[in-house]
Amino acid sequence: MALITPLLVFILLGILDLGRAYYQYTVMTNAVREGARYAAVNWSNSVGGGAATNSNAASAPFNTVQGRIQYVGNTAGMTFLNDAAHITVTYYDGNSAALVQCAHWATATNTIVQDNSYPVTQPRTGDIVKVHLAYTFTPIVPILSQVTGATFNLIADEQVRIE
Amino acid sequence: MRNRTGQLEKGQAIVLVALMIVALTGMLALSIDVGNSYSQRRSLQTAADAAAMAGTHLAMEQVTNVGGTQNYTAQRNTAILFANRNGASAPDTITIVWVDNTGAAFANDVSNLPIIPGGKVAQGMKVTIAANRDTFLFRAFGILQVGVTVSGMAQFGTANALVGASPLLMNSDSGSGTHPLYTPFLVTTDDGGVACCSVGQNDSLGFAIPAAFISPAPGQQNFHILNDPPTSATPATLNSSANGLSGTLSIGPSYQIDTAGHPANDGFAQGLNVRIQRSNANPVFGGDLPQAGKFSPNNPRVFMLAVNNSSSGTSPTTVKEFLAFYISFVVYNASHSITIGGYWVNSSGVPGSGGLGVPTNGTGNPMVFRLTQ
Repeated sequence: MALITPLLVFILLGILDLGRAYYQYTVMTNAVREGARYAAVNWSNSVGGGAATNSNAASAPFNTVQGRIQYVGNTAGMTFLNDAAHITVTYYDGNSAALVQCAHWATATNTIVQDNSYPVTQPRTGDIVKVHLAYTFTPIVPILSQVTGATFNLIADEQVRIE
Repeated sequence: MRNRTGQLEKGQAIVLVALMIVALTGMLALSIDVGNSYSQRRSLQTAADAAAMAGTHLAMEQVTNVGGTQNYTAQRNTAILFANRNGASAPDTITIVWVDNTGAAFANDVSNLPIIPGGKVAQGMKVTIAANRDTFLFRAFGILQVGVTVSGMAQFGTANALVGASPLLMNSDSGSGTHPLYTPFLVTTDDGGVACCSVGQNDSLGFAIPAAFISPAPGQQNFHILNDPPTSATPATLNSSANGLSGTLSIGPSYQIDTAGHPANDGFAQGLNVRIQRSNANPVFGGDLPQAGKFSPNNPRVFMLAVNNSSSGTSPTTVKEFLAFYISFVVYNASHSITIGGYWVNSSGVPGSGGLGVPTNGTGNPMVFRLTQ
């Protein structure tokens, strides 16, 4: 019994951690869907129209992609960091066969930066916006944390059509 | 260790531990692989939802911007593209069916494109993704993969109206009771294109446009254009017989058309389009002639069609209900106009019947607003 008890506890805690990770991943997918949806329906075809839908504030305004993501996280007790390592927004040309990246949101400058010589009129309706969210998951199983370096990165992506 | 009977119990713990390890491994496998399958399901649900949304929104754009012509192949390709980009790709199976306004699916043909019966219209799509995903610990029990199937559906429009830009509110006015406002679909038709209405032309729902709207029309004299357009450059005046109206035109339970001596062509002998063209070319009041290079000051002209009590129609009496409604914008001159409108029919496609244009008339027979295009 003395031998099996630690193993049993380890497995049970592992299952608990797995449940926590899955819960957090689910929240992340909900958050990234909310953010992507906001990005898809609030894009303006005017020059710089995408900038208004993004924010690099640590606590982003609600009416931004990042704000929507953080809001969903907050309601579930999770804090999503708003920096280049955790939230990115990328735009692709939906009319090109290769779906070339046409722009991205630059966190540092809080602007839409054109890529691959695309004009400022893109992205536009029919193009693709990809919202990427990363979150650091910390297990509560001590040994697992020590062996694996203590944290895991959970990642959720969604790509939707700009409407 | 010995028990009371003196038998040795040494080694029993090993058996228990072995059994427990097997059981625990099973539990661990269950938690990990079931958790993983849920995670995969979650990812695929994202893909199905994004695909359905993308395809449906493209459909809505096509209906709104291209005069109601849906490109199902493009919609399907768009849906598959977004399924792919959200993690669902071959060998995953992506099945797409189109749905009507109630969510009921249409059958697909051999090309996997929808078969839309007359009177129906695709108002969305349902994307189903079936995939197999590798297991982790279940492999030890011979289960190499788990199957995950998800569906996502998106629709546009409402039950009795195809909604696009929907700038118009149709008042389903009636002499009795209150009826809801209907939001008809918007279709723009430049008369450089197909004019309304000719034999063989279909409306927006794929029905043949009723004969009453086609020139020359059969003797259905009980259909009347309320505001019969001017027939000459002589300005008509409000309430004048030339304008086709007698009495004040207002939203109310009934209207009067010219009571006697109405023009011989007051039926549909010339067809609606001829009347609209004629109106656009002539002034309604003095100084109202179309001007080259400008929007006509008489924009827009409104044409309302109605049905009256008389089956013969030779002596028009009280108009019962609106039958159709058109707004015509003259963009440049009479040869460049945009007409928006449609007509009411019951669910059997009969104009003006089943309540003379009333959306339900208390009979449960819903009227729909069809577009001529």
